[in-house]
Amino acid sequence: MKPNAKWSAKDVITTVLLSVLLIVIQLLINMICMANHFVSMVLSVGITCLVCAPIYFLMVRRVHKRFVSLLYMTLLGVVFLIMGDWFLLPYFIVVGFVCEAILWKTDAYDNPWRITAAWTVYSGLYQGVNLLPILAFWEAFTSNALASGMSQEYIDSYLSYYTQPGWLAFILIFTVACGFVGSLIGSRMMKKHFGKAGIL
Amino acid sequence: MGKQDAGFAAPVRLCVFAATLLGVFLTGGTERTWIIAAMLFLILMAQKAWKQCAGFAVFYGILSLLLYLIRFHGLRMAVFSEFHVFLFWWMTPVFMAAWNLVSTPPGELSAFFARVHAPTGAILGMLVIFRFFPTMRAELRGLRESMHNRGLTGPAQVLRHPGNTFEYILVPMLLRCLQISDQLAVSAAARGIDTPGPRHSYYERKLRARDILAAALYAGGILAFLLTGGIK
Amino acid sequence: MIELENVSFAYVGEKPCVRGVNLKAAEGECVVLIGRSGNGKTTLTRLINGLAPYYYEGTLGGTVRLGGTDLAVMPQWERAKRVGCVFQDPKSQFFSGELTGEVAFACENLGFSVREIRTRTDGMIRAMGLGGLRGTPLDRLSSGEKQKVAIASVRAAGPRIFTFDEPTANLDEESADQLSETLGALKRKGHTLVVAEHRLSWLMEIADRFLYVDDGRIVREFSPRELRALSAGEAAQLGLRRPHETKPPLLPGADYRHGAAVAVRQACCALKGKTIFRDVEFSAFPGEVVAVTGRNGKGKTTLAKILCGLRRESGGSVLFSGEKIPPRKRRERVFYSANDTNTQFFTPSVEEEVLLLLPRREENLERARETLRQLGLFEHRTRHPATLSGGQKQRLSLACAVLSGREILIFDEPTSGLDGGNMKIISGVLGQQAGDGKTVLVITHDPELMEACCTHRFSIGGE
Repeated sequence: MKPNAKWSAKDVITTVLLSVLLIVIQLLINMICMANHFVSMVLSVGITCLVCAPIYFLMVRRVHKRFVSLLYMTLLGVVFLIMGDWFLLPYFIVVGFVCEAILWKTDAYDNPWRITAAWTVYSGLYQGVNLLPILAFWEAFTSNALASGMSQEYIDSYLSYYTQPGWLAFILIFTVACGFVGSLIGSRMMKKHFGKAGIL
Repeated sequence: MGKQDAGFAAPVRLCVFAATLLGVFLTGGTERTWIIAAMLFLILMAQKAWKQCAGFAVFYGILSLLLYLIRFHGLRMAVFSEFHVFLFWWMTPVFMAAWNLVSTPPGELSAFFARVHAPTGAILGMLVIFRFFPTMRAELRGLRESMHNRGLTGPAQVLRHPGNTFEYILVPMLLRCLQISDQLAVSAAARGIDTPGPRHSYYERKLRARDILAAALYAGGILAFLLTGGIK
Repeated sequence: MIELENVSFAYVGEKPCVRGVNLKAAEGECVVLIGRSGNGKTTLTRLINGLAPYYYEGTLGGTVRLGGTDLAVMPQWERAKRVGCVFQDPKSQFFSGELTGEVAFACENLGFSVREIRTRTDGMIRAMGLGGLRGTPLDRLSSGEKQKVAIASVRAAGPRIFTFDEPTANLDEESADQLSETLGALKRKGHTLVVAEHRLSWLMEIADRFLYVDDGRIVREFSPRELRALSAGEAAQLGLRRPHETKPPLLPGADYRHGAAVAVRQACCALKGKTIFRDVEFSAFPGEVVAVTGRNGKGKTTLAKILCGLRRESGGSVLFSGEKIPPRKRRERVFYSANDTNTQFFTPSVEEEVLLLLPRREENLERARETLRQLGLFEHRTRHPATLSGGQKQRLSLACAVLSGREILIFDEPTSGLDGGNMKIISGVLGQQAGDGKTVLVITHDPELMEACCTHRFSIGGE
């Protein structure tokens, strides 16, 4: 199979099935994490990137065609659009192109390190899911919150993770590390199971 | 009129969704978005979607109550921050319009896609998305049962070997996903999915007067809402 | 109608699995391909519908002609119009959640006009008697009904030829009989039918010829009369299931007896307010193999799930050696091998699978080796379970049950869709387990299996 070859019905079906699986798992983890805002702001994205890495690996290696990542990330963006964060759609399309660029070399689809790189970069950029909405809706929220009698201090403490450079750095490093470790697990799982089962 | 016929055509639902997005995000006064929610309740009622209506009414009611308590009685949330309450309250109209859009029967959506000459791949992908949930539900049940049977679900086993547990869930699920996608692909190939040329659909239908009326009224409503309330 | 001339085929990177086959089938003829698993029957059906080599890639030798036209010059969609393919497992082939959309799918793909799609779809739903299912989600249909929907969908496109690849592998006896009627009707309409199948009795009234496939070749041809005349010994030697309509053997009932390894008394079960069964009473002692039979939907599988603790009985008592055990602890005594093996395996090799969670002591390893040998899996011990064939997966599931060391083993339709050889191996092991003092329950419709190893019978919900 050449990465340049035309997409078949099977490729479309595989990509869509696995993308939906990825998206559903991410949304579930996101939702569960919302209960606590430390977990939701600091940890949740890292956890999803750790858990989802093997699925992404499988998808890229199985379909083995260009634009798999782009299609998946566009779908993800559409889901965010439907949930109201419309600006995440163009954002994820851009992220998709970044991942495609990392995987552009012809043999990249067989090279676990390239896929690891793509997923790790994606993990870092995935923080946009948390950061962008807060930036975008912040004004609306603060005006509402101030009107509700909350103090500016209280609001700032809520945002502390994203305003203090130390926390911001920790969040990014944690997420990227999770994405990287997830990729290593994914890469191992490919060898251990899917390569052996002869379906890559 | 049956429940099936009461539903608006796919383009109408799409138009409602787009108008809702514009209304919610462009408005200068976020407090007034309840007007959009009210309009959407009317849209759902016109389609006899009573269950969805009731569900959203409860959801919106609780959020409104919380928001009221936060604003006028100084309520502070221990879990699930005030930010989320506000965000969800504000977004409820978007959720409603989105739900209305995705609850279009897949047949009608694919008919709409076919009509606007979307590539077959897009139609196929959309059909697969709708098949995903019932299929995965059945597979996950099977997986849970065989894990239980093999003694892989006990708390001791799960806590002592979280990595293994992750693998025991993920690997069979992914293998099954690939198997299903292969079977779906063969079934599509055997039923002529590669046929070139235009595609039609069983559910293709003309827009009725009520479809056009609903879209026009709703779009007009949003426009009026934006004009009277000011734009950001 | 169909003409295969000196056809051979090899999948990419594999040895040839069809060699020099010549086959002709006329209009209105029903040809059945029989023989052991893995000998090329499925590939032959794929060659006729063009899925091999145009979907499953490989090297094709010889020519396949449909109605005088070489398949090689036809595009895939043209083949789809001429040949309707029905596969093993209908539930993972649906693209729509409801009947109409599914039946219309092929017509929509093939670029028919809206009017034509509607006439064909509605006409087909009427012709197949499916009108009553229009409002029901496809997932809720019985497997027999699902298979019928799958047939309606390919038939709506108007093919003259149908290929069936083990269409009854997931069906019970009743649904197989219904399928038999459907195929009979197709044949009377002058369609050509090619069926690859292990289960033979439902085809005896319809089939014109049975072709015995061995190692990629058609080596023998039987008329239905000749096939019926085969002795049990000859059938076994050919690895065939019995062609006769066999009545299940008369076995002593497994009535409630006190102190049995499993004893169920006045048990009932309701799910979401619907009664599945009530007043179920039976028991099984060590050394017995009890066949659990009963019509579809009478709760055989539900009963098995109650016994292994996946569900709770709504009333009555379930005793293990006279003892009441809460559902979550039943697993320690009961092993339940479900019919669907797709989500049953967790590790990357057959040997790790049977040793999962077992301490790696020499005695366990020895037992594992022995069991794998007995089930013909030893040579496959390093393979990934996902690469095994259906029959091998069933045997692996059985091996896991045997090695689990639990006292009560429950199997759900372990021989559905298996050839004679696999059936024999499985019945042998079940009998041996009982001989070793295990209590074996087997949910089954298979008269041959019952005859081969069952000692008692319990029919849920009466006869």
